[in-house]
Amino acid sequence: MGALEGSLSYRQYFVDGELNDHDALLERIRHHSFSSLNLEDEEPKWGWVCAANPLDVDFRRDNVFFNQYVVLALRQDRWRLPAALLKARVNDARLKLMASSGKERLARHERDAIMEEQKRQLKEKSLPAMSVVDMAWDTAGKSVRFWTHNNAMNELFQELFEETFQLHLVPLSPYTMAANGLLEDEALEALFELDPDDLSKVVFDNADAPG
Amino acid sequence: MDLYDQIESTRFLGVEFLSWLWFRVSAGRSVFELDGQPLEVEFDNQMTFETTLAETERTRLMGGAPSESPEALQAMRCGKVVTVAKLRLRREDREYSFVLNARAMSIASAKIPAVLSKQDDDRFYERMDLLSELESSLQGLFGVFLKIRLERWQHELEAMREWVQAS
Repeated sequence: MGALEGSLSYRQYFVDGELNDHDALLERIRHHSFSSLNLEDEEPKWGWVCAANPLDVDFRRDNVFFNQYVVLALRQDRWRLPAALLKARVNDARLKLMASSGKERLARHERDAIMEEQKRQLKEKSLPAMSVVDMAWDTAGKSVRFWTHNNAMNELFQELFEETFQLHLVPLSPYTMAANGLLEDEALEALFELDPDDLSKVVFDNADAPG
Repeated sequence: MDLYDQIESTRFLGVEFLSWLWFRVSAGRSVFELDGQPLEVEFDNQMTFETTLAETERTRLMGGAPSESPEALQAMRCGKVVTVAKLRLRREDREYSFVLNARAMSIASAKIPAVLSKQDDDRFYERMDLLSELESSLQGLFGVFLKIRLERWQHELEAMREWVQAS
């Protein structure tokens, strides 16, 4: 969502470093591509997919490189089992096992086994929840747009991007905006000497300011 | 100072920038000359104010023209600064609207001029070009602010003080 159509809410990053050759880059993307969740998986799984089709992990030059842009999507799948239903099924299975075995109390490993089995049965009946977020890396401008403001997804994105491309991402901020083409080194250094309270002084100097 | 500290210690500049921009627009100086072209700025229907000491104390003004409302200036007089605002930028016949989060200088809910290309690849390039123009316009405005902030801020502050008192 984002690079090709839809929402225009995104976070911007600057890329610290140079792009290597395209073939090596494709290999790295393939190495970090998304792989589907299994019934045994407890934790979410994530990786790169093609931006045009989140089911496509066949990365090629013609579906990743668009002039100076590298366009991909981050896909994350997780099992979202209905907690109340899981709890009810686990209780029911425990009562049945206690009745059939004549036990008044189940051992820890028996309770764990019931929990795992009930989770597995529910997973078989459901589909994973999928999140897909586009990214467009402008390799000429050395900036990346990632189409969500969700903090958790942005942390995941930074981690995956840096691991895949071995390049450091620096988030956009007033400082990084100033440092990327607005101010020279000396003026940048002067920013650290500015008084952050200047504006507040103007505000609080007025008659209605709180005491 | 490492990069993290550099970023965190200068976030206040984004908030100052947005307050300054509001002042300039309210004072009728809403057209800026960037790269030899006029860029017109307008505050739209959304503004958020926060106290500088506690981010959780927020005043959110939605609908109408909050930048011209008494409530907006009252929020400033109560020690709150504008941290989020919906802006409109006009460059030639192209209009952009977006919500700016000043602490991060991040863009949300952006609307760009209609993309005219038919082919998927061309639509993508056109979309990216329009976003680049929006970003460079914002960066250009921030550059104007930084120049004033570094060279004649006290003079500008005095004008802002008069604006707050007179409004």
